[in-house]
Amino acid sequence: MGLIKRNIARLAECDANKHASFSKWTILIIWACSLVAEVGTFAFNKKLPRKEKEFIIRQELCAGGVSLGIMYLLADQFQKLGERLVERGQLLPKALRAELEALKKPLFEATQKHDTILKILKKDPQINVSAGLAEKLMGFRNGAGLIASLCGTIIASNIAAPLVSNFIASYFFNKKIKTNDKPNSAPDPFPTYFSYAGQFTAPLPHNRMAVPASALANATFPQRAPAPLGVIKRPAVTNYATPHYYPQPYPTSMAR
Amino acid sequence: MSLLIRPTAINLNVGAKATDLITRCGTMSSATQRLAIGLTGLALRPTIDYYNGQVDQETRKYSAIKTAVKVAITVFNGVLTRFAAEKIGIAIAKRRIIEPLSKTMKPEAFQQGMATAISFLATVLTTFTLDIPLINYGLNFVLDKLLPGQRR
Repeated sequence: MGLIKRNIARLAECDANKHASFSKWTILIIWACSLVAEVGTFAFNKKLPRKEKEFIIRQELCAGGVSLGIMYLLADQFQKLGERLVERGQLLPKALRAELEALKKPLFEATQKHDTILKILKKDPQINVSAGLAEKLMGFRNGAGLIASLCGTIIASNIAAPLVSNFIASYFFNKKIKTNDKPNSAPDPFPTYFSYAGQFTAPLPHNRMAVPASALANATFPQRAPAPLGVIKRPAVTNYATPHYYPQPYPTSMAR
Repeated sequence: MSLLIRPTAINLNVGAKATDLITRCGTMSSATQRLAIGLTGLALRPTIDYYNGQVDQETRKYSAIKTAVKVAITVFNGVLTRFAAEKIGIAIAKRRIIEPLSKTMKPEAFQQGMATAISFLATVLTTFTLDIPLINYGLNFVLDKLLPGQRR
């Protein structure tokens, strides 16, 4: 049999042996695939600006990841609860309970009930029960597990996940609003002066005309290479004597 | 990690009809499961979005409509795909195109297993290819009818 056929057969046998667990995992994987597909539509959407795209993708991944975690937790724990109810003898069919209670007393006492039922499910030869009891008990246990797992999935995907997603979406949205509302930076009270490593940003305090930044941005005077290390702030004591004090282009009388 | 839920002091006896129902639910098909999750989702998720107190009224309305359309389309797609794929899986198992690896497996159990496996693979495929375009088209159609001329 080819590789693909063999793996499909393996999947089918996994489902036949553990239908409740297989259903739980397939629901989770398909939920994850739909999350990836949704994020993909935003990622490949050419109409969205880049910032918006990053924001939406981050938000969707965060909300989707948390929803997946909640779904796995609830589905898994509910399934274990359903199966445990049957294994501890607390939820049993009437007919099977009568048959199990007819076993020797120590086997079906409160402290031994759990072990006895587990041994019956594993078809342990030590415990003598009628043919078909193990299959009926196994079928009942699997049914209880699947119904409980389904209830957990419904609660997780239809109540918990939307509530959490809305909370996370509003958190991201409010954070974005706060970032966008930040006022434009006020004029720097301590403007940086030109240095060989930097560019002119503000006029001198007492003997220069105020030059708007936009004019400076389009200025045609000779420019130095941009500073890789950033601009040097003015020193505590201003030394007027050095040519470093004057921004480019410094007066020709000062030119060397 | 386990939450270790331990129910104590319960002794529930289940009658014959309920036992039969629970045992049959143990082999519930994936289409039925999807229908159960989807119908409850269609009732609950738009309601939760509509009563979301963290956003304004217009956003709530838009969000509820969007969720309702999304859930309706994904449920319809999901149930239809799974139903068709289960029939195909059972046919593949009956015609022995794919055979079980273990010799002790019962044919009925393997057929049900094949149905679930093929429906899972088909659903993963349609999630990426069919769901998103249909949701986009459905959303645009519904929003044009319900909220005409509004910027989205």
